Amino acid sequence: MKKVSIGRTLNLFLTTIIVPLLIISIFAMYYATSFLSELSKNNNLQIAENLKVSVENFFSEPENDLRILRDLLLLDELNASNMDEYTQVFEIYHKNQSKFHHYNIVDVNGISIYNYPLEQNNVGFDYSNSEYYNAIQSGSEKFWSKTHMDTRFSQISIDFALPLQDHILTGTIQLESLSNVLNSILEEDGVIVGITDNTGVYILHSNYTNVEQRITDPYVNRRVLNYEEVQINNDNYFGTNIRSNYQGWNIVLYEHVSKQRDKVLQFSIILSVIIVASTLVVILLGNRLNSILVENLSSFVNRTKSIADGDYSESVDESRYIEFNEIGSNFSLMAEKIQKRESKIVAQNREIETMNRNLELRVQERTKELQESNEMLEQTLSNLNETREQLIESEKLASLGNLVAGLAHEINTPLGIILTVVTYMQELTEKIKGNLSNNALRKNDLLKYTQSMEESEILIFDNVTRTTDLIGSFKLISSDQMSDENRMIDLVDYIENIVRGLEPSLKKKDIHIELMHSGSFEIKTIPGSVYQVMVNLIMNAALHAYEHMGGTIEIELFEDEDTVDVVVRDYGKGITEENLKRIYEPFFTTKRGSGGTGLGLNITYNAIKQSLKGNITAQSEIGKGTAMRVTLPKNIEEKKEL
Amino acid sequence: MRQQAKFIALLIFILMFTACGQNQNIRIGFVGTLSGPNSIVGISMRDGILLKVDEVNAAGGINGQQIELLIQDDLNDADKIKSINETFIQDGIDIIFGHELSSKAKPLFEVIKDRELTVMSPTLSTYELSGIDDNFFRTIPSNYDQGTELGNLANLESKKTLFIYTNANKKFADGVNEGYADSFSGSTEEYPVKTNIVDEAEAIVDIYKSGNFDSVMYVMNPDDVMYMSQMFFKHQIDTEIYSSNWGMAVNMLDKGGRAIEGATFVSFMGNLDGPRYLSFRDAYYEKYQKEPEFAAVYAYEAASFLFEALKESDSLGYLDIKSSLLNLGEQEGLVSPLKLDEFGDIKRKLFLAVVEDGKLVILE
Repeated sequence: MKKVSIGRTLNLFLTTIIVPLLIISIFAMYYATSFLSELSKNNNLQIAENLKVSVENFFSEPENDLRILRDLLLLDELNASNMDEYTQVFEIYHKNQSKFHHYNIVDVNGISIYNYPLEQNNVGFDYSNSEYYNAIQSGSEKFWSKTHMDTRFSQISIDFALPLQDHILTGTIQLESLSNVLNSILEEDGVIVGITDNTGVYILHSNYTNVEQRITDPYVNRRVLNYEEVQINNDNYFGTNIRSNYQGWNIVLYEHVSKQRDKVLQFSIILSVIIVASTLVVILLGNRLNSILVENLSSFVNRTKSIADGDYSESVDESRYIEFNEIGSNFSLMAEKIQKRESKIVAQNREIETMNRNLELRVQERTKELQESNEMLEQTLSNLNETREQLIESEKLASLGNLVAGLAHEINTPLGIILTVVTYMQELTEKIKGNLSNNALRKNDLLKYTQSMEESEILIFDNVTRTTDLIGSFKLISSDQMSDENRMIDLVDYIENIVRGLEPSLKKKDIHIELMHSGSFEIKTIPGSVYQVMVNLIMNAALHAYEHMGGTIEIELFEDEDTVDVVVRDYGKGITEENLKRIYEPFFTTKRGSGGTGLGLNITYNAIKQSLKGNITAQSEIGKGTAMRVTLPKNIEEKKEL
Repeated sequence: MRQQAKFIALLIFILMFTACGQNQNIRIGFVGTLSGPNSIVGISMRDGILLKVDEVNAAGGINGQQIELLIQDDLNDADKIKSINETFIQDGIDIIFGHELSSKAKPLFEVIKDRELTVMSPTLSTYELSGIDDNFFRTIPSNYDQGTELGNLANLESKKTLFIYTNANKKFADGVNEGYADSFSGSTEEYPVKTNIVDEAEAIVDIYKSGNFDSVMYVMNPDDVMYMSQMFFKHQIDTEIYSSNWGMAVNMLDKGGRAIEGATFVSFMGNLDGPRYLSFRDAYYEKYQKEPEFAAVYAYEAASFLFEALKESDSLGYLDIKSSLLNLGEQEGLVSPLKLDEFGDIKRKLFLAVVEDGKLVILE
């Protein structure tokens, strides 16, 4: 991370104040310009309106004055033949008004019949072609003429005409006189004010030359100006014009752009001064603040260096600022506490070092102990595995023992019969021998003897055959027990043989086995494993389900497409749900004290899963019994695992 | 700190910055009598050229340059005329337009003679200036022709003519009078108005009455023409009235009333129904709300002629402009074609206009 100083950060901070200040100022200037422009626009419009009112008032006065004159003339019932009376009226009237320069009366034919003042000498002139004559003759009650050059006085003039019965009375105003009246409005610096007649020619202007020169306002005849920038005499002005309802006259007002610019400039200068001053103040204050902070902070920087170097004795310089003094005293306090804490930490460190050393020794010892324990455990595990192997072997032998016991029982009967028959034959032979030696042997006796011998031979033969068969089957089962090879077997026969082998011991427990099937099931499997599985399941049922109470064990076979199911079902006490989950765990038994190893079902499970590539499931209900379903593939070679 | 100072300096620079455009305008000085009793022609002339300047500027100027017309009122005073022209020259003005009266030729030439600038007048018609290869150009034929035209007419109606003229414009009046006298078979007498018409009108009437005149020939401004005619009317004198072009003013006929009825004016205003004139007349009326006087028409025409030449001219130097003006060939005027001869003078057809029912009617 790039490191920067507080001073620089402070400058940045100041910039963040100054820049927005400047931006705001620029916007302020922009909006102020618009505002000033709008203000000037309204101001000019107001001046124009005022001028309009003033002019209208100004011209309404002579209108009224001339009407009074007309009334006076009519009152006296004057006529052209009595000029002296006219003159008296005009003299009195003229003294009391200031607008009209001279007057004229024309008759119905437009011929001038009277002038005042008298020296004008235009009596007899024809005005029948003049606008005012035509207007009044057409019925107008009053008429203001356009401006015109009055030949007699070389003055730009304007006439006002009123009907005087069938004559026309006109008064002429010299426009120069108006300028004096409106001087206060007309003489504002940088502003051109003017009034034009209905043709756009100035009848009043800030510069009377414009009236004299009959200048036409360049804009009034073309468009309404609403404070728009326009050119007058190659100079730029903001123009405003309004049309008076009065005679179609226009009031025009041109404000020189510089006046507007001056206002903006004045505002800009004030604003600039404020900006510069406030910027300078901010900079000066910022720098002062900066130096105060840096100066005071450098004292702390030095102090921290000292503390870092382990010198706690040096104190912070006295500052004139309360806050820095407070920080300084807190700093000293902090240094003191740090010093104490450091001493404490050093002591604690030493203690910890000692403890660590002890701990290491203890860990070493403990490690050694653990290693020994581990070795012992490994030994135990090895023993345990060995024991497990032995137990599995024992289980196998135990099942083989059951087989042997069954076989012994089976062959005991034929052998007993054979012994009885042989004994009987010996007795018969001894009896025959005695009769022979006594010559008491009769033919009949011999015949009976022979017959008995034949019968005994048959009996012996039968029982020997039976014994041989039994031994044969025992041999097969026992050899299977010792082999892991697979071969084809009839599962029904095979299970019948197993059941037969177990029957003697089961009978003692009053257990009856029912084998249910629908024919023979030829499967290719590992018979030794099947034997072990079936013996375990049957003996388990006999031992755990009925507990010497006796009962029925059903063995039911089903065939599927590729598999065969063998269900070993009892109707004994059942297995709890909790135990049912654990029955395949090694060494799990509820008969630990009664000689159960807890390996039976584990071995069975492994045999089914691993050797037979089959599956086993268990269903049980307390008090109703248990069903163990073993699913085996019909051909173990084609089926890897179910 | 330094960065802040730079920023503030930049801001102040931006605030103080104002764009200053260069003056690319073509400046033309205008001199005319714009106030006082003889101002009618000058004012009309000014209004005519102003209309043309407005049009040209609105259309983008001459080769991109706007025309700036610097208008000065010479108060019909010779010294003033000289000082205005001198000031124009001192200010580096290359073209001067105006000088409506022949009386102004003398003071004008005292200043412009052998000076490197172009001077054009639409109305200064004194024949003394004809046939001189100089820096003065005009689009009006000499005053002599006006007199000739009126003299020819007077032959049909009059036997003895009182020639009333403004003495201040004697140069012009002499030309007209000479032309008139040369073509008129009757006799003439002259009366120069030396003060003003108002003061001398009664005396003129007496002279007329006692001299057995049947016609008057005016070389005066329109105001004076109207006033003098009214005076004849007042005295119930029925006389044929002839007037030079100077006295013609369509907007002032009302001042003459019935007194000016039947008066004949000579002018160059021929075809007033052509599209060029009508278009000009409409624009003029829109701007000034009145009919254009002859001086306005001539000024507009002359300005059009001058501006066309400026378009073709390599520079504003008088030799370039002169060359351009002389090579311009015939141009369509408002009322008739215009073409300068090798001396910068012009030949145009003259027309006669008669007042009928308060209006000027051009005679065929």
